[in-house]
Amino acid sequence: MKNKWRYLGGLLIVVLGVGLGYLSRPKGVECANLGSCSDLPKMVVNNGETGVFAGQEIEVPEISLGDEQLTTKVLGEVANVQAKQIYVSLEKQLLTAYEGETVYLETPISTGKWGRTPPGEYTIWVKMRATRMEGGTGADYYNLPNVPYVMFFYNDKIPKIAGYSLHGAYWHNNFGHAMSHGCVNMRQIDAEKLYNWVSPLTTGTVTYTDAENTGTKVTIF
Amino acid sequence: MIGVLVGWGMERKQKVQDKQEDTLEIMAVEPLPTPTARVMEQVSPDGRMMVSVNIKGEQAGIWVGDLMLMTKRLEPEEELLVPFNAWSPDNKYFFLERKIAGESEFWVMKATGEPFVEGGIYRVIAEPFTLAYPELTLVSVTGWASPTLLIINAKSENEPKISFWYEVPSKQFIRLSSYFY
Repeated sequence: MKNKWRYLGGLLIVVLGVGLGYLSRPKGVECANLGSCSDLPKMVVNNGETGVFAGQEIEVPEISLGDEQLTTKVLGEVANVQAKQIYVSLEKQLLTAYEGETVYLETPISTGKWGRTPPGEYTIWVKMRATRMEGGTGADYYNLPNVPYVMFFYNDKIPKIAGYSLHGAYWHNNFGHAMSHGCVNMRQIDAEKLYNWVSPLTTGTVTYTDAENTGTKVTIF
Repeated sequence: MIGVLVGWGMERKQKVQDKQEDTLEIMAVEPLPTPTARVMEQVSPDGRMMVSVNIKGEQAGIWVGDLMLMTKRLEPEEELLVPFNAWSPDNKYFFLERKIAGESEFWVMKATGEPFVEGGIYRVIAEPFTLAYPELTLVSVTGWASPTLLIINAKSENEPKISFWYEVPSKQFIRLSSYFY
């Protein structure tokens, strides 16, 4: 009986927390995830957990940060930042990354199906090796730990707290077709390649932009 | 008389030689066609495996890495394609598109090459779909919604956009309320 009350109490706290987060979100802002708009994204690795997507339990790939060689910032590379630009075509479901006039990467992606991916001109403001994404309701509920290679972007209409990003997706393989709740999903191998290329150039498992390490521009159209 | 015959014989021999030289010359310009190998491949989501279809002449081989899963003699107008979204997100299955005379069939296979419970190392999708939904036309299989759910787009005369999931373990087609573009 005690356990039941504890469970109900815990559930009430979660519901209140989510509700308060929702009510306190910036007015008129679309959110990419349930956690968005109530808190800024956090770098977090949750190995050993099970994910949920499309009503199915999903095996979550483990991330061993200690085993990874980070592709880190090299002085002098900063000069190329201005030449880098990412374009995301909603109509073609295609991402193209340019360095000057050279195509660095072109790959099918998945943008919003259950939530809109807002078109606009954005700048990457932080990138994280992994985070958790959770949201949706009913059959669309999803809870995905260890979302890999996350590059959050923002502009004056879509603030940082809205939580929109480019990232790898291990739970589906339907790229070239709308499949997300608002973010830009990519194959993990493409996300890793893009993550190691975009600015801010990587300095650790979380890299924020600063005056010398500015963010790559992202155009969604 | 003998001289005439010898002369005719020599002239004929020269003509035959000329013809052979012509033939040789033609052969030198247009060598006999030899089968050229074509390879289509897709890397698995974890980056550790590669599914490939190697086509040489009329023979197609389906490989995962160094493991040959099967070979197939291609019929005229038959193609075996490896779609971009071939792999299931957990790297356990992949699907191929078989095109013949403009019609598409789709095969699901296990990455290990092991047979399915009913036997056979591949499972067809379009044929059982048409049997289950004769009023619909299967348009495409776009990819995987999850590790075991393939996304099927279909149409009917009245409804141009209908989506299904095909659940691999149960072989069930699940009609969806929304369309997967």
